[in-house]
Amino acid sequence: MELQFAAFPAVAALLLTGTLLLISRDWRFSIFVLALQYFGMFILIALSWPLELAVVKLVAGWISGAILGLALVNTRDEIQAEGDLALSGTVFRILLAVLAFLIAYSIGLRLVVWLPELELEQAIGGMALILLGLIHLGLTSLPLRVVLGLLTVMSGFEILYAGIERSTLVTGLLAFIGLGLAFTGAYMLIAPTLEGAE
Amino acid sequence: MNTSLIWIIFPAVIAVVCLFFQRRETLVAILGVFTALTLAALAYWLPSEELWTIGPWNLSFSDTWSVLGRQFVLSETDRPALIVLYLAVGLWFGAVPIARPGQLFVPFGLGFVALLTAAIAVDPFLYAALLVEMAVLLSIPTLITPGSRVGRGLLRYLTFQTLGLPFILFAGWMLTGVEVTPGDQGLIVRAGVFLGFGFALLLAVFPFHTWIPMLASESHPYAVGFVFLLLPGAIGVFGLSFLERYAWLRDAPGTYTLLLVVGAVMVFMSGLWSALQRDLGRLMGFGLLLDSGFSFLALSQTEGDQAVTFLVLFFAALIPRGLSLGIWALCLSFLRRKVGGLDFGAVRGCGREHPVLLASMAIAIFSLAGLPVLSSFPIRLAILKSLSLSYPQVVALALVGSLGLVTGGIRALGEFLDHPESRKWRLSEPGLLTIYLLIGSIGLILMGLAPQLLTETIAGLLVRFGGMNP
Repeated sequence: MELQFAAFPAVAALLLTGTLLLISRDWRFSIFVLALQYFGMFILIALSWPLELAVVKLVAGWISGAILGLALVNTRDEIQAEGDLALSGTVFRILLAVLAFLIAYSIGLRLVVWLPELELEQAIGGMALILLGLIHLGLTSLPLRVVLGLLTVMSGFEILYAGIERSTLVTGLLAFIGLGLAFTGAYMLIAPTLEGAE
Repeated sequence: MNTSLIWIIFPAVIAVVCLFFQRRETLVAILGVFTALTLAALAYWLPSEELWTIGPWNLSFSDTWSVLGRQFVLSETDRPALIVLYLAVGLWFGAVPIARPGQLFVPFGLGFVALLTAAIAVDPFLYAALLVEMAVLLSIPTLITPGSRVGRGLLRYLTFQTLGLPFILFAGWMLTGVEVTPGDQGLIVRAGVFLGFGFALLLAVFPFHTWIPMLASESHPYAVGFVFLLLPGAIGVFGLSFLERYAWLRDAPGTYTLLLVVGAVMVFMSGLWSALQRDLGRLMGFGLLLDSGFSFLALSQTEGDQAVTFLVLFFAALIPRGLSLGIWALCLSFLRRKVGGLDFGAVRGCGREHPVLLASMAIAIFSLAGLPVLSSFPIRLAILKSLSLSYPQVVALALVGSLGLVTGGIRALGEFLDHPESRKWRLSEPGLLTIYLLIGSIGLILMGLAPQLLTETIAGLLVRFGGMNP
């Protein structure tokens, strides 16, 4: 609860980072934005959890970003190449992000009635991340983008779930899953460069 | 000492050991087979007394392992599942030297099984969703062919399985609320919708099924078959835990109607698509979807007096499925290596040079389709006979679906036998492959001719380990 003052800026940061992840083509920038997104998620989770438990999410998230970054550093340029996004594509994605925020706001207002344990900022921030992650997943078929989309969806879910579940085991398992997604993504990125085994 | 150490931690440790020796594929396969068969044997023979006396030592033995306030429980009633699971894994690993699914298959496969076992054991059972997701993540490297780009089927597999997790966890939390306030209809509906979406994503229910044929077409068939066999089985057991735990869910007539509709749609749609396929991998994917549909139909009949019978049939169906899928995947692995692809164009005429493979694959396909004299037929017959009394239209849909897979199989076999003038009949399969295929095919026919062997074995295991009253 000590971080209540930072809740609204955290929601704004999540919306901004989610949108930037949608339009960014540079993997270095995407990983940096992902790290910022985990910081926003940490603030919203800290509204329900003790700081020392919430920081587990932040550390696990940053390690996930580092794993993906390390894998990308070691892959060939053509594997990382995504192609530039046209202006119309950028505008379309920004409009989708605005729509996602409006839906998240609308659902968030009802969510706090169903789940009284949640703060409004958590409900809106969590829903916004879930929707932005789903949009991300719907617009790509590249391994890095899919993993970024899944990490975004899972971050949104973890914000909402933090309000209702405080088990240490669940925290640990969810952190493992986040790291597992990053390791899986890293393997998918380096697989084309590996020597064929068949 | 406790059971979780034996059936969860031990295989996980062996998996790590295998990872260090991954380049020595045959050695790793032997170690994997030995581990899996030992664990299956231990599940059958290991006594469950709380105190063992070995010579002068007294060893206390527990079926519960506590971790961070939660428990992993592998009791007597879980033994049949452990026997079937590790026996299937042992047999599957046994053909690794022939199928050659890659260096990571056995180590990651063993880790995958350890996590699925943990999912069966964890209490509260809701946490199984997290462990199943971890198992899915562990299965990904086995499904990627090193040196090639990751396909869309794999990305969809990862996406759908990961998206299923939040639905299940939220549904679990809501179901706890339903127990406290059973009259809250809004909560019941929300919990039901979340649970339905979660399992639809995890079990590749239409329209979330697209990754199965895509993955079967683009990844190594043997690794795909392994995941297709074990993952739906473990998720099915997890789903049954919901029915067992929440009486209101079990007693709601809508639950069984939903299972019936889902099963009928899956069987019908996958059968239709099977008939139109031109890729043997995709055909295998649709064959599995059809079999999953029949599992849903079996579960839809577990209401009332016949619950135990159809539960036995649900579990018994896993054995012919495993055998059919194993033979099919083994044939496809060999063909893929031999001709470089699995589309009809690539395999045209291969049947003349590989008659044992041709015959075995025909038996596997037609067994999954439920043709008479083959292993799935008696189970399918029992399900359809029960359904015919109250839902004849579902029986018609199921028969059309089965006919679709038969049609797909006949088309595939037709391509196999094409080009008669350019290829002569001869036996050119490796000896070990021939032995494996012959044993498997004879097994499929035997189970079809004497179905009581299968159902009595499963029922016997359930009775022996206290999972069911005689």
